Amino acid sequence: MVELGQIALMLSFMMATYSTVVGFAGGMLNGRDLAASARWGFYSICPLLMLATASLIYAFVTNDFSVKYVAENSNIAMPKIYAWVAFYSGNAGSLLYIAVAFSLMAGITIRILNSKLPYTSPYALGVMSMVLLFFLAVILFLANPLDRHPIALEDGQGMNPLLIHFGMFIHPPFQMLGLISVALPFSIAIGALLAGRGGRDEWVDQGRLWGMVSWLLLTTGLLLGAWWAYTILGWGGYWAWDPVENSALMPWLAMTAFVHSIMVQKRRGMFRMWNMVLIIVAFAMAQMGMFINRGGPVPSVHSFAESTMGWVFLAVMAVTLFISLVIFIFRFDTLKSRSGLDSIISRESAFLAQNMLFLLIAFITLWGTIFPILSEAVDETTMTIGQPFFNKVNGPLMLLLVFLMGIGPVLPWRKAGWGSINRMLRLPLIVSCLVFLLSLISGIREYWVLISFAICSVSLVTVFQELIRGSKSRHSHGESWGRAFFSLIGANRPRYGGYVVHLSIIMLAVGITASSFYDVQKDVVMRPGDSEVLGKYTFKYLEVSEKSYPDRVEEIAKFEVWSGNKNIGYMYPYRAFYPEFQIAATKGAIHSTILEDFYLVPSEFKEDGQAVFRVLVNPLVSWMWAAGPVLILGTLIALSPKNRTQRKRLQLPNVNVDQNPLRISE
Amino acid sequence: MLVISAIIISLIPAVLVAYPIIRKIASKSPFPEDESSLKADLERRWESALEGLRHAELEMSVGNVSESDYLWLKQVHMTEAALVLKTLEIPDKEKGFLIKQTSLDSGYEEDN
Repeated sequence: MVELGQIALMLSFMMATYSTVVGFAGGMLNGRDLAASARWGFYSICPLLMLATASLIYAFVTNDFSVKYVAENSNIAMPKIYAWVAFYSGNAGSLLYIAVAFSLMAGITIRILNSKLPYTSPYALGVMSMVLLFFLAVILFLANPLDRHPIALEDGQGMNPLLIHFGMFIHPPFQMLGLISVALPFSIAIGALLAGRGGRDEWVDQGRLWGMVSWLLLTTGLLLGAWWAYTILGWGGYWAWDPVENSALMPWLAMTAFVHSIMVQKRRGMFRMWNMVLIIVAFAMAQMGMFINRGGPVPSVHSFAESTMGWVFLAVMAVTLFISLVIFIFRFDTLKSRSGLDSIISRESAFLAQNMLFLLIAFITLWGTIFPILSEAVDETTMTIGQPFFNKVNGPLMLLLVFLMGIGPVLPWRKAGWGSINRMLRLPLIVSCLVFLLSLISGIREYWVLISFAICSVSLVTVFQELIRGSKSRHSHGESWGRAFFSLIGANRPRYGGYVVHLSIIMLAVGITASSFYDVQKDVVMRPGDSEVLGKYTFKYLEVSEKSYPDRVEEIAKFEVWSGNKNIGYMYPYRAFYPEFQIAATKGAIHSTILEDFYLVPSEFKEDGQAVFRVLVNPLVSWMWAAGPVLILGTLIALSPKNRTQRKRLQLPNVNVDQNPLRISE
Repeated sequence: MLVISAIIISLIPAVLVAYPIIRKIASKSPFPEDESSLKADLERRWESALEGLRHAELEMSVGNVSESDYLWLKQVHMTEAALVLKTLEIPDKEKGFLIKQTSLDSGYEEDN
């Protein structure tokens, strides 16, 4: 089975090479049969890689420790269900996962592109094949998960115990999928440039569609990562500005800028160069993320083991960036905007300002992330930049973004006079002043919190104002309130889907603000029978029990907890020790309400019965996790296609216009 | 067994890439519409002008824009739509219908 997987890997490498060469040739020679052949060759890669994946998973399930990767990432004690997690838990397997997932997504993209952008798609196919070819080359020549040991081992080393958790089934796949999916809109954009077809906004609809898919995957990956860190890793926080976290945040920031500014190109034929630059930057940052993740030199708590592979990714990133910029400069003249800004107070201007802020935050994050390498290169001392730097510099910029998120969508396209501004922003600004004052009266003295709540209220009121005014308008023409609301959203899905996404961002902003400024933390040393108080919570340490498993020993503390006078039951934080790995992992116990989380995590159990616990009260964290489904819903609304009536209304009749102006011969 | 399986899985992609070239399936089908053609570009601009009009109507109906801004926006988008139609070689009768369509498209105008 493993040998079959190896053959499938080699064949997929050959097919990717074929699709790259023949795809570009098909585009350049206008050979439609060549392009079709390249396309069908590309379609065959996904099943081949699935076969390779199946053979690796089969090796995990059957404990075939003659396969090096299986021996390094599993053992007999590992539950079989974790074969899927073990598949991508190491460097080589994760590359295979990325390759198979990308081949599937790219196959779907190519299928759609072939009908929507028939003259661009061979070039886009060439670029996608090239991306896949790189991954397959790395798998085959640097990190092949199907390589065998010279001698078969009786048992494997086992998977890192921190990864044995159900959260691992969803967080890493989304994160990796998000990073690689940036290659889809990138390939479409570069394909359009290569085909000499970027100047009439041909690629914009497909670029937006796949840009949003990529953005959704990246966002889901980031949120799942934060949730996993908070609920599983047991350190009480959800974001630490760790290099690997930053490496996922940077392309997300660039993609967020892209999915907004591509709308301006669609509506106004503006920002054509800017959008190309954005998508090139986003892809470069995704590659930078892979460089950091793949054993680059930046220290991180959760990157793969240090290896030279990171440098291969960095080199490819540099080459990709260089070639993309050369193509961009070569096609520079075709990318001039159709029109200019009519007014500085318009939606276009707000998008541009917001784009600048996103990129500024991305580059500040990049600077902070790679600073240790730079400092080491300059004077051979490694200086790392910690959370305070990122919080102080990026925090205010992010608040400014939330403010722009509030006012940008209500500004009309092209221009807004003072009369319009007054109509749209009067109520949000009044409410935000009231929120500011009420927060002040209620005892909040942290000025960043006051500003944050005031800004969030501007965004919140503009969203509700839009929804209420729109529904009211329809209701005044005879529709029931419910029908008016849903038909309003249905008739303008990108707009109102965007508002739903903005609601989720407000929830995130409020959750981050409250949990950053008003979290309470206490380290306590307790014996069984001791009670302690933190805020309104009283917690009594009842006992500790020990449970042995084949791979670990768990020390489980039992607490009885009261919120005020109300008994909220028992909580069981625990510490697991894995003797084989000499690793200890803690798992916090969380009592979560809509207002705050009570979080208990053990630090140490001493032999004399004493134990050290970290206790936290984190306000409004649950708002952040609730924001995830809202965000996904909003993105799906924005992405959903127009209905038949809407599409029909916008169509021009069949008219006598030259269908083949470039005189392409058959 | 391994050899037979290897031959089979090698044959499948080989057939897939050879088939379109041998049977010339793509070149036998009519040319697809060029996404960069003048017509396609005009369609995008037409759609953009109509979207702009719909948007302006929506903003006006929900009370987001002032009367003067609305009239300016409407004028700009109508001019854009008219320019698109002027470029197209279609009979005046259809042009008249399409111009009428631009003012009906928002769905709000219909109610008023």
